[in-house]
Amino acid sequence: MAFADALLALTGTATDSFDIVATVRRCFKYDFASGAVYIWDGQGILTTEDGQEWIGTIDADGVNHHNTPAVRDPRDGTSPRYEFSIPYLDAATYAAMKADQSVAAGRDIICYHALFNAKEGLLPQTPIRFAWKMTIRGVTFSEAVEENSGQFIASYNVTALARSLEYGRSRTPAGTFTDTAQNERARVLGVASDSGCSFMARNANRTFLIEGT
Amino acid sequence: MTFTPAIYDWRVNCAPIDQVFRAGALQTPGGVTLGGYLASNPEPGGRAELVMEFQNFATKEANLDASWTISRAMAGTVWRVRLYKNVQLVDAADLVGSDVNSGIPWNNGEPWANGENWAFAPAAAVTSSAAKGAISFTADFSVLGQVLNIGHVIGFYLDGYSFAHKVMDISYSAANIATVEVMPPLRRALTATDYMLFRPSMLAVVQDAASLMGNFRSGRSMTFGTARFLEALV
Repeated sequence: MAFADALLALTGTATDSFDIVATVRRCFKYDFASGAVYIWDGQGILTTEDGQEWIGTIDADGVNHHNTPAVRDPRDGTSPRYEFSIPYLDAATYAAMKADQSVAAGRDIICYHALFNAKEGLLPQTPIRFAWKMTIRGVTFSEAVEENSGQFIASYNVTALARSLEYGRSRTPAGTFTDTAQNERARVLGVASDSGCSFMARNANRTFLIEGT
Repeated sequence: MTFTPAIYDWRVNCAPIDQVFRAGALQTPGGVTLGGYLASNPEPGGRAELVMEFQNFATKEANLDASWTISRAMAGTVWRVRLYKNVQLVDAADLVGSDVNSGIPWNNGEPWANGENWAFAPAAAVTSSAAKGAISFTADFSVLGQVLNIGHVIGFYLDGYSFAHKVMDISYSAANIATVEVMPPLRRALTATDYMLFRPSMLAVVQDAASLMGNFRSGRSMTFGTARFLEALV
């Protein structure tokens, strides 16, 4: 059953959102050049219907060590800067990621939704659904030795800075639309003439009266 | 990249007097009903939890083991903890028809020189394969009969790791093939060549290692605080 159908089945005839109990968790794919990292918001190994295994990032205290910002709807044209961090890596993984940091930029972070039905354990049969995709702009690293009630913990923290695909949409286009420029473009393209911008100059700084008002 | 933790056995000398095993599960708030009941959604999966309480350690060996244990535990060691006999494990008399809870002696009825008997490791054969992450499997109880019930704790030894699971639901076929539903979910795939253990061990980390430690009273005897073990997902 497809994700939407399964969700619809769980919705049933409920008329109030509180009557709907659907357990949905987020799964993250960090598509690094050296190999993708698959993690999910939960405990233990999750095996999705396509056979992919995802590593749970919630520890025994219920703390999710994978810090994910709330992703905003990008349709207002903004592209906020998101920081995803993965603390408590082991030293070897940390070193490997640090060695590969130059190729991290431009790689993707993809979020999926997984739907858990009752009695499925960590083996949901519903295919996961794509939620959103981001592009990694850079990676930062930090390491520290912390003392916590007598225990000394050396922690290695990797943070990925990401932007949505709306990034750069507000940049000015590489060119201006004038009649001369447009005719030059037409010539380069091998077209005799292009009158698309003939009236541009005349229309600039002009007050248009609509419906005679 | 695979990270392989060092695993130590919980010292036999550091035996608890009280113990309980629980299949822990988180839950997330779901909403409030019109009547005011705060409904919650169960977390998929979850992890098992084992709580032990201790009496004074009497012997010198036990106290030395305790001394070793408090330092190991502070380093976040993963422990292989054999569940001590309590009502959560299937009674030995149900399995072999005689009381062998304290282990199996030599055939002349004598224990080893240190007073311990042979370990008792009863098992039932798994009859079909089950995937990692599943919550149910089948096992053959045609010889033992219907001895396993809800609330019992069983276990597996797979890939060199030990796992303990709570029986949440069980049904027997006419031939006493049991379909067992467990929490937490299976951590490794099962095949028909595996065995389900009635005397399980689990891999766990002491949650609050600092509170485990007591002082050596009069320089001799230590009492552990409550040990709360949480399943280590290896």
